[in-house]
Amino acid sequence: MRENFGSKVWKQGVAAVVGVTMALACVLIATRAEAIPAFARHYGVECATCHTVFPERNEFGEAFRRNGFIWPGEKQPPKTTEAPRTEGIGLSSIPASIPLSFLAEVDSTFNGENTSDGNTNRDLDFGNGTTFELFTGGNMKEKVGFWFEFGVEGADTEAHGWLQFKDPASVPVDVKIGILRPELSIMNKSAGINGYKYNNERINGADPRPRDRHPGVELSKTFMDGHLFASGGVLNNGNTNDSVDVYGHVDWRIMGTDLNGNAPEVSLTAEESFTDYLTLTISGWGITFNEDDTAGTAVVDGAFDQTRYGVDLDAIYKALQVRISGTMGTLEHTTGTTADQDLSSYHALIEYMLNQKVMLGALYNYIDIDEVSGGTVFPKQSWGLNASYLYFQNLKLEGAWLHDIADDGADADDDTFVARATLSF
Amino acid sequence: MKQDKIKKRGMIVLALVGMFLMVSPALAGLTTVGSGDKIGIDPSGFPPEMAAAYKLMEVKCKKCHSLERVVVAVQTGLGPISGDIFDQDSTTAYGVKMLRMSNSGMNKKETKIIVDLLNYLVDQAADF
Repeated sequence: MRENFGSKVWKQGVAAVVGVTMALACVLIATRAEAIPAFARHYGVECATCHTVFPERNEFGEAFRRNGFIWPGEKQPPKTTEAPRTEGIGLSSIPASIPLSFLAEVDSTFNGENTSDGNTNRDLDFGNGTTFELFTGGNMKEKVGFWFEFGVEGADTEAHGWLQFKDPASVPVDVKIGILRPELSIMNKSAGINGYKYNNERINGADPRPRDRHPGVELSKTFMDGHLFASGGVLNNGNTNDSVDVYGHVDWRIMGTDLNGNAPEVSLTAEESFTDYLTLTISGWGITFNEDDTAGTAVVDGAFDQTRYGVDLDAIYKALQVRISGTMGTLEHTTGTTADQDLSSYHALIEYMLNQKVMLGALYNYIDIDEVSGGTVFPKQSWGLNASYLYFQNLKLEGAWLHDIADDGADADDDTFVARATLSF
Repeated sequence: MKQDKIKKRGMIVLALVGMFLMVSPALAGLTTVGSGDKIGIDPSGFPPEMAAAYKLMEVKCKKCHSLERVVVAVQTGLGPISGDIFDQDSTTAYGVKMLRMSNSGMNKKETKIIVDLLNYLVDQAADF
């Protein structure tokens, strides 16, 4: 009896140790669980992970987008969702939380158009440009990326989207299908609000723009250890003669963060070097498109054969980014006797992140197009300054000044001032 | 006599529990303070150079994000954003990535100090 009593105490003592251990373990595990970040939205990262000043993407953000919104690299980050993920949801590849985002943009514009008689026509539109966009993007099982967007601007609405299949059927290329905008010059990736659409000029006034969205398919791939990216696509532009737009784009990342978003190897013990902070990219692109002439009383099928091609240089050093672009193009009138029209344009853009909240920008544009009688007088030059302020990472205030330099014999210089507020969540 | 034995066994049990409670924090390697995005690590037990490095981390790294991801990475061995392995072989790559962020405000010397701290934290967390 006494031994049983002693054994009982011993057993109770051991049980106490075990109990305390389990309690401690629970606390420690709970600490680890509490230590895991409360991920916001899908990957739970701040906007600055992918953007400099939204919507402009940094090197990683660009890699993420090109990868079909699939996190670049072999491993996928531990995603958290607001809703618990059931087996059924997982098997269905339905995102456990709906990745919806919203963007609202309000512009106010002041135009100061100087006339040849020395007067200035001033026109202030307060809140004239208002845009609302609803969009969703992400990926399903890291195999298919998707993007759908619905926008309202004034009385106009637009909806488009695409699916991007990553290495479908083990073919080592990504296939994007949907309403696509051709990937042309990198100048279009800038965050500035100067209202200038690079490489999207019309040569003949009414002809479509090369960056117009159309249904189509695009193939793309990043290779050479993330130093080369190539894409090419075919778009159905809706011409009556069933012609298609064909485009291609190549990026060569010479140095810096590679096109998969991986930082380069840098020795932390070696002396500081300029190249430690440099990212350098050369891009080339081209597009051909055949368009109907819809300007007259009757549509002329396939009246214009257009070609545009260009080379860009993009350099990033710490908070400074410089982009330089040159474009050549030709519009061939396939009917009638109108001579071919050539286009050449050159652009330079400098952006500087003063701090995490403020970006300053300056740009210069030169465009020369063989003139059509009665049309715009070329060459045209313009320069602009802009500043963006991130009140929060998702609330941006911007101001821009675009100065159009008058060519000889035409009106005096014109000035346009734009103020914009953009909210996204 | 037998009651003495019982008492002795009880004392041994209590002593073991006490030792366990005393030893646990040292075995844990790292002590966190705060929670959520305010979480940090208690540097009071760090060697002086690591305590100084932690102060540098608080100034430089918290400019853009909280230390929560550092704590999670060190404790779990996985980068909470990338999902990549977070160990002493990968800390330099993370440091370089942060060094090259625009407006990081860091230089290579400071990055090296913080990478050395990360390696120390990984080592300490592994002791648990």
